[in-house]
Amino acid sequence: MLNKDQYNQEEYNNYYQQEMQGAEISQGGSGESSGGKGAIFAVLGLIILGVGGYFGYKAFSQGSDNTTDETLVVQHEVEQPSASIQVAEESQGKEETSENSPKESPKNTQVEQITHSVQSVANDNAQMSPEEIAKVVQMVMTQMNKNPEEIVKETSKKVESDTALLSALSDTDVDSVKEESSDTKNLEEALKSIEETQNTTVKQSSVKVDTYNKVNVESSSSTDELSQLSSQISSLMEENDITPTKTTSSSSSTKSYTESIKKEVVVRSNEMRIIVVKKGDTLGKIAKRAYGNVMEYKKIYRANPDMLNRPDRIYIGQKLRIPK
Amino acid sequence: MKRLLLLPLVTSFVLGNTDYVTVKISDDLAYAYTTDSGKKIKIERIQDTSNRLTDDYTKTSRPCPPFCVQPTKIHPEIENIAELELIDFMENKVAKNRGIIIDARLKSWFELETIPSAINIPFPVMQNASTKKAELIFKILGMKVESDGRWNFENAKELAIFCNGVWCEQSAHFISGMLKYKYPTSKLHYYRSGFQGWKLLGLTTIVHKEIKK
Repeated sequence: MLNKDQYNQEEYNNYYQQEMQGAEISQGGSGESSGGKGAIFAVLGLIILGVGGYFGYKAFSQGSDNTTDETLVVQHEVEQPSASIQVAEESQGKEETSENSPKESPKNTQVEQITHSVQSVANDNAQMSPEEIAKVVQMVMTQMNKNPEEIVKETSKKVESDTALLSALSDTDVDSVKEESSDTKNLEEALKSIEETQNTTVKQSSVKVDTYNKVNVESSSSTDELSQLSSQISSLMEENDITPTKTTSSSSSTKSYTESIKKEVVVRSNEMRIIVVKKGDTLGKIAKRAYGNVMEYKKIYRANPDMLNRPDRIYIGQKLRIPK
Repeated sequence: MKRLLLLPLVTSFVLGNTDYVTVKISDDLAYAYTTDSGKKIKIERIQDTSNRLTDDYTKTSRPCPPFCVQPTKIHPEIENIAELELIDFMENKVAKNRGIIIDARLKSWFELETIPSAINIPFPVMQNASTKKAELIFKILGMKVESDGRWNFENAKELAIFCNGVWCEQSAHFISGMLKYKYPTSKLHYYRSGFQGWKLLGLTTIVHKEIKK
């Protein structure tokens, strides 16, 4: 029989054990829940990393796609002359020896070509990114999957284009070949776009600037030293005209020279005669005024390639050259 | 790599958009200023990169004589200059009244078109000048007549002389006239490319009398 203390002790022990189990359970539960939270965080982290990585890769691959593709294409263009001519020579040589090893030629050529491409890419881009390596591998795979017939066709096409390229390059120096590198090409494109933008901004901002970069000035009574000096010289020249100096031996030869170059002045003034388009003018009307024949408008049109895009579009205030 | 290269280019374009010059005069000179007839003239090149010379100064063949190719040196002691030196001359000599650009062509050529800040002394004026006339011209150019009658060129202005270009001998005639009266060769500069060289680069020109019909 248990006394009250023993009973209490047992009850306490049971209670303690239950509490401990409960605590363990609750600890286990909380451990599970904290583990669950950790897993959720980990999953979220992975998702964020995945999404970030995906967009990052996408953005990078968009950029690097062009670079690698262009690099490869340009390298093809630049390097192929020697490389593919070697291939062509080899394929020719192999045609000769095809009786001995008929199956070797297309695949060997293909492998050599790929190896050469990879080597050239690797040599030129010593710091290749994994994406670029992936691109190269992809290129190798596509090359490997192609039919031998297609490869032969491509090779023959390349040989033709390379021959043309070689003949073109023979007239140029090495520098001009270097200019075709992808970076330079991209820079040129960028510069071109900037230039186009600039041209439009220049055109917009400076409407009043003469196309021929001429500034019309009138001889004014300016007080600056240069103007005064110029007017003094002019007055001296006029005086010279009124009271001619003594005729020297050299003056007669000068006179003949002067006469002969005066004719050229007339020629030139005819060549560079400029008219300003007025309201109601057409090229035909201007041609009629200048040459007496409406059909001579073509002459005016040809003389103003930078001003006229179409012969039926001229604008009031436009300055047109009227050749003789 | 490509982006790294393009980034500074695009940035510089965006930042410097307001003052961007496509066709500069030289790598470090986009434009320059001078004065002509009391008017401030900006010397720059034509910005249209598709622009080409059409009629004037595109002619290849004129009868020789008189339009013969000129030797490189017009005189062993006279310095030849080119466009950059001429622009520098405008900025540092003409602007400070220490130099003058002389268009030695006939007046009719000068009026059609010339280089900014140039003044016209047609070559026959100098070549046929009497001693008195030469003295008057030289006085305008800064020469002083000493009490003993000696011509003192110490403060005489430096002259940059040009005509139509390598096929034109008007400068040669003008310079021979100057040398006849002992204008110091150290103060004479010959711009051999002349007006055609100036035009070829699309540099700003001055028209004193526009031809209209």
